Amino acid sequence: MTGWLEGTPLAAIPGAVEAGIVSGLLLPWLGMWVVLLRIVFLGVTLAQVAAAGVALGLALHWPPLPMGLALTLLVVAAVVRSDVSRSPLAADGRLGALFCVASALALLFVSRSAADLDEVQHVLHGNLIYASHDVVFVTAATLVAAVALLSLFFKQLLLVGFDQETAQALGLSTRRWTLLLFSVLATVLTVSMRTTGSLLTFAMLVLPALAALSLRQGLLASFVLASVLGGLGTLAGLLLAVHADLHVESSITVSLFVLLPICGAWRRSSLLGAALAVLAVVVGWSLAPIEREAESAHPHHHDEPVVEAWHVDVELSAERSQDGDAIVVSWLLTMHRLEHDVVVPAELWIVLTGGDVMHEHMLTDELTLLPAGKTTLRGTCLVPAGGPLHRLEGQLWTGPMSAVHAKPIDIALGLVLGADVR
Amino acid sequence: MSRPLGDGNLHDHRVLLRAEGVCVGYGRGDVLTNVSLAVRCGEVTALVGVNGSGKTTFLRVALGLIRPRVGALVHLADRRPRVGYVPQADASEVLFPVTAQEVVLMGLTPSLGLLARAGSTGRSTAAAALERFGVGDLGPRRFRDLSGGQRQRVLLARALVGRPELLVLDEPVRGLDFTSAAALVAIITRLATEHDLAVIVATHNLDLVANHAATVALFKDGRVKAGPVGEIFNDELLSEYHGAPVHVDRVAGHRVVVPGELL
Repeated sequence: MTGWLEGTPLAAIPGAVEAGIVSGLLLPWLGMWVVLLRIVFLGVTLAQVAAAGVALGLALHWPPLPMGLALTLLVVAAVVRSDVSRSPLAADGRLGALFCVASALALLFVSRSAADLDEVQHVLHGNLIYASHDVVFVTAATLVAAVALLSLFFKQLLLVGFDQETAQALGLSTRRWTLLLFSVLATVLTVSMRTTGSLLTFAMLVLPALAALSLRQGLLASFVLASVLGGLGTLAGLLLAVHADLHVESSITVSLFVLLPICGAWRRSSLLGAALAVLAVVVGWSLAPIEREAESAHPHHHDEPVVEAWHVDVELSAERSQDGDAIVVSWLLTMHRLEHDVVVPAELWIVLTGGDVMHEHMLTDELTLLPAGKTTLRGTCLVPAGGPLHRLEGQLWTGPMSAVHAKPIDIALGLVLGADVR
Repeated sequence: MSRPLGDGNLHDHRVLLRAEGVCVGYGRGDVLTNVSLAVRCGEVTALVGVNGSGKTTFLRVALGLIRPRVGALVHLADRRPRVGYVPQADASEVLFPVTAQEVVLMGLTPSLGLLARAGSTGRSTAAAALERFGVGDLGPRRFRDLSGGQRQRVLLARALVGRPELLVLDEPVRGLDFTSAAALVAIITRLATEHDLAVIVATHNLDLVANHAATVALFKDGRVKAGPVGEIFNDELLSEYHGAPVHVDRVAGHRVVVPGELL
């Protein structure tokens, strides 16, 4: 699917491109309803409720996403039942209270969770770069189904959203249609947590829709424009992240935000809008990647003569835990360092993937302290994996993937980074 | 307690719907107490009263949105009539970038079924409805960019595009200038007679009621006094219901209602 990326800067992050573009195109379509119906705060609150549900699942060792979805749908049912339209001020207050408690509960549940903190971070806040094909497929299927469902009942949702009183007078069950819309939104918010996370999901919902509406086009044109702008903004954000070595989710969010002044200017004058877009591109392009210690310490490149100032080997073995809910991964790290003053990255992390499993584990944060010569370190880590899993693959990083400074270490160095699960 | 209008009521074939001893309340208090009122085809029935007197609540009862605690709403032929509704001017969500034609098409939503869309027939019906109200050229214009009078005409077109038997209007001339209000009132009256529509109008505009309504229901503290306009529009009753002196006079054949202290 991502073969077209070969030879482009985005080839380094194919998973992020897949997940980002799909979400960037489809989430704004749903976001149009969020903005038009003025339920932005409800969306934020539902995202936090989903996070609390996911965290509760992790704490109880139950499937986190179904837990998140169940809790969010429960809240949706309660919100619709309470008829927010009749007392919008009181409804805002209730949503505010819910937002506070859901945010707090998410943190509390996380602190009670036995899962690895980074695992929790990824489930709660998403990880575009390491979204597996399966996760991207589920997210895409959910988004397509959501857009199709809302398009199928477009006329009913339009009447209910535009003029609820008349819709009721004409015999439409406004509560039923509102429930449909909110349930779809809750499902999308929960499922998207594994890829785009709460911040980027929300940015993709709201920012392209606002930009499209500021262009003052017709109703259908605004929906299409929101999707197109979402896709373009996401692509720009991905390119910015790769070019300037920036955090991917944040880069996309900023790119989507930049659409607002560009579209605002375009409405006044297309020349002004185009000039602002060019300026944004120039500013983005001028952001050079920051030279990092880890980069200079990278052992070697394939097209350069190998100067083995340092290198590492990691061997893995894996077996199921006795209770069957996890994989116990044993690792053996060998560090070869020719001289003590050779600059090496401080940390070494391993990212383990297989099936639906994606797990980060820090092997050591004391590489710089190791003496010259050969040193071995060993340890184990527990990878939560209840389902069938036959093999784990690993990739070495110079830090956790979410960290700005982190870099993947070329795995074509002969490292043994795969292990059959016994 | 008010008495339902009409000749013997039960046998008045002009009656489209009749409220019989209706009591409605939110929470513990009653908003309407023992209200009886008949709404006839081909006539404008006006609901008049100060703010909070129960007019809008009665409209919601007539639309079937509120079920009475006591009493009943009886429909002709034992079925709910097809309804057209024009809400207060600020009821629409102006963020939606919809055109006037798209607003009118919304009126076809209940008759289209679950999945069908308004095709070319629906669009030409909507265009004809706009034309009928003198705003045919506004079809492609954005609804939120229209003036108050133009919006009301578009909403009237939406209310009538579904061929209603009962037309309900909530404060249709609020915020309109004198000429726009007069033109709109003329349209509403013409609709009632030409299409044999039963029209219910809730309004504060006593001049509108005085010269165009056939039946007037005066609301005060949830109770209603109803009757033909000539019977209801007298100084004594209006003053009592408004809690201030009100004078009814005739100028060039038209009833004029003015506050008493101005005289």
